[in-house]
Amino acid sequence: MSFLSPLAFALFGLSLPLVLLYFLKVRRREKRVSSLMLWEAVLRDREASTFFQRLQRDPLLILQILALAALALALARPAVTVLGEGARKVVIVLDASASMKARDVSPSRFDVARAEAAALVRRLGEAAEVMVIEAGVQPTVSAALSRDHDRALGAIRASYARDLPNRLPEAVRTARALVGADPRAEIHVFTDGAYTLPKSLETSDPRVRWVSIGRRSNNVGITNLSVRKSYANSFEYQAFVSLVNYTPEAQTFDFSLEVDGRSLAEKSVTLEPSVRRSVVLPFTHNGGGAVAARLHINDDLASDNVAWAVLPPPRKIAVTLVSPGNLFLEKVLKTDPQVALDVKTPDQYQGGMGDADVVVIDTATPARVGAGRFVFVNTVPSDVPIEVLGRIEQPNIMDWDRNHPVMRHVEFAKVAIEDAMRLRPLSAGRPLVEAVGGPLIYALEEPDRKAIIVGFDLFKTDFPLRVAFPLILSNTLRWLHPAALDQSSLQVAAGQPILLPVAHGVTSGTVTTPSGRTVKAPITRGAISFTETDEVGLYTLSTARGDLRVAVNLMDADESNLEPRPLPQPSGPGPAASAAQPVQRELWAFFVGLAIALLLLEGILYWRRQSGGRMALPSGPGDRWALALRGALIVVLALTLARPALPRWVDRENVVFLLDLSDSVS
Amino acid sequence: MPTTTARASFFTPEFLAQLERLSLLSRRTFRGSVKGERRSPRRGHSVEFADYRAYGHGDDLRYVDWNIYGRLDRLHVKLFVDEEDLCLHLLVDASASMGFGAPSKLNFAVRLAAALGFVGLVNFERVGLGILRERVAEGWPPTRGRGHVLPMMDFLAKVEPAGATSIDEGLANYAQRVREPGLVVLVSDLLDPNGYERGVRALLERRFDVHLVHLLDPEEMNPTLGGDLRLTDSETGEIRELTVDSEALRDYRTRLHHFLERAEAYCRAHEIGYHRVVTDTPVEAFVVAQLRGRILG
Repeated sequence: MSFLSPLAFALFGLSLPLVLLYFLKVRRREKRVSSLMLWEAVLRDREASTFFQRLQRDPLLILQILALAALALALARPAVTVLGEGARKVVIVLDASASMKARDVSPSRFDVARAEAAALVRRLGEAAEVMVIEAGVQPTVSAALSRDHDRALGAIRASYARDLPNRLPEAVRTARALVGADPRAEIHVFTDGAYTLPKSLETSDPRVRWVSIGRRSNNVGITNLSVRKSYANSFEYQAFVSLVNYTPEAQTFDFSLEVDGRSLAEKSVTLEPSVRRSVVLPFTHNGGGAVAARLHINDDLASDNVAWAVLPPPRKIAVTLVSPGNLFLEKVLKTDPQVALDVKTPDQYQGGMGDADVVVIDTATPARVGAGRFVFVNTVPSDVPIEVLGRIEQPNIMDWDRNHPVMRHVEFAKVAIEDAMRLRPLSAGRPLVEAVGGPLIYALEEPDRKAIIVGFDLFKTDFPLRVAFPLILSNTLRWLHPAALDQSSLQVAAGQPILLPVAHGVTSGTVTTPSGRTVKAPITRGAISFTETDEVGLYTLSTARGDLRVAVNLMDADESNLEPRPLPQPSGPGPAASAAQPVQRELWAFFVGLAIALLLLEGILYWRRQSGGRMALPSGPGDRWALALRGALIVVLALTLARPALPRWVDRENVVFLLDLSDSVS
Repeated sequence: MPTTTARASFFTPEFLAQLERLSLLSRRTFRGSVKGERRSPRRGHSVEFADYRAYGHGDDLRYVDWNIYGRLDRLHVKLFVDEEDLCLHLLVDASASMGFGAPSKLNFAVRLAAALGFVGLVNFERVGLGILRERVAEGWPPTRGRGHVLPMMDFLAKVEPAGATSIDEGLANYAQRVREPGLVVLVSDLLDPNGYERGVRALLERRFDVHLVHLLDPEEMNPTLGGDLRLTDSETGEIRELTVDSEALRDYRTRLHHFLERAEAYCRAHEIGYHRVVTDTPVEAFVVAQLRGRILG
């Protein structure tokens, strides 16, 4: 026998104070008796007995020392090496996609998968190493490879299915990477096969064994929901809903659309088998809200019976225009219905943002602007990291960045410019319009400042007369300020990250999931991000400037189609059984049990002694406390046998190490 | 202890009415000093014939039995039983150990003494009281008559437990002092390390009719003690430390059993009336149920 924590034997040193306490004067209760005459014989006997005779009569000290010894042994983690049968490497991959929540098998496909995975672990020999991987948003190793089967079983018990599309190939790839080329390794994938498995290394690896869970497809689902605002009227909307019947029979069910709990439409729908139908529902609504489309049907999968969309609350962008007078800018900004414009002369502007969301500075030269969101037209303030090297006469436009949000739908080919500043950016950003000699329009992105620099005077170009001008201005404002959110950015598919810009000055935020869990969300470069979108519903992003809701929907036809498809069969026999291997078996539980038994006996004898053999509640408070402490110690030791674990929430972070093994490195 | 005002609560009027119907019983006959209502060893002038004796000068000729003279030609006079009173001696152990219990053993003892004294006084017997501690600490000389009932109860109500026990000394002292023997009822817990036999023997030598009422508290009969204790003797104040576990309790009960058996055996051997009572028994029930037919008739 060896001891994995031999320092724990120091605990046995407590036996010395135990023995000393035994000799110390015991605190006694005062009791008056009529006469000691009748107690005389008892007193005589007790006083005459030696220490060892007393010990024989009252073995509490011996039992306490033995219990202490057993506890010290348990804490020292005794272990014996035995030959363990079944030395294998087994990886269990659990498909945690939305279709695994289907109830065609009771209680659900995922529960059955968990039970079968646990049964597999229990059948393994002592020498087998087990790993558990959950195929979620990303593959997660919930139990690393080890011979601790209890840990693997705990990981299996703690896993759950999510409202996610299938990510199984990544998980199997991860499993293969972790077991390497070991031919004895086995990868057991528990899945319903409700997807088309592509032919790949993962599917052709003979070590991968596919366990199919699931019998049928009895599901009707919403595969798409989008809401569009009517251009005719800002209060009118249209909801587009796609419904699919993945059952072998025609289904008739009720469908409802509501916004913030107010019913907008209710209708009965009949769908033939395997039929997809799109429904368009116009409605009116004033202000922001959350739209919910619901199917009232009892089918095998509930996650796709409801879909959400968020109508962003109407918000205006507060724009401050600092200009000596520019009709072009004023007119375009005034006509934008989402802009609240405030015009200032250069003398009235002292720098900074003030209460504005975006500051447009035209031809003015403030000493310093500071952090914020800006549009600089024909000016570069001194604290902006862009050098003006001179001027470019009649610049030739070489190209423009059609992919940038500011340049969306913008055609810049025939814009004529008389002259422009020759700009040399010194900080992070990208040119949006390039000419020979330098950028004409530049997008600056610093940690605390975003700006669009237009390097020419609007009065020396025909740019304001072109369609591109109001378009670029509109795109610029919405790129600089999150008020320019359209519905599409407030709705993501399950598994996709939420990434939204936040107002200037916001440095922290939280996300509340549909199940009520609140998580701190990082804000970097003016955007809040959240990746754990593994449940459908409404997520609330909270910052100092207010709350914003984002809808997460399944909207995956593959997941809604629960039909199990054929899974690859193993091509050859399983790996041969390997020879027995030495395995370390810990024995602490036995010694804890022994300590419990000894303490129980000691407690009963103590109780009997202090109650005069009557086994009644001792009258003295000290005796009662002593009895209660003994009981509490026994309960705590008994609990350790259940191997309790404290769950804790951690912020998940995936760290990938890439090791360059090329020749040049060695 | 009950005060003068509390002596009224010694007994209920119903119980006192019950006591009035009782009388004292003695297994012996004693010479009384005055005419009473019980047999005397002396010959007197009652109607009950007792014996003959030869005629002596001065005898009353009315008591000559002429039939005997006709047959024997000799003069003989008839003798008749004389009726005299009984002296009841109530000895109450008032040592410190009698103060143990709630209510105390002394409380039971004085109430018992009051009940017996009441019976004696209403039956024109003489009743005397003796309070035992190291010796007879105080007493009440034998008196007769109903008029002494309340003073007797007042006297008993004021008795307090104190001092050590010396039953031998107290009884011997009492036996020596008292002029007329009679019925003596000793009420005590007998918890005297020096014993009681010598004292009781002194009473027997003076031809007292001795009854012993052995008092015990329920806690003495069946201790509810347990654990690590420091025991204090009520009388001596001695302190001893003891862990009372089941074995200690078993030993105690064995010793108690021997103590009680020994007392009973001694009394039986010396024709002493032995009456054991635990103080959770009501005095009234004890008097009516157990003493009737023995001390009371």
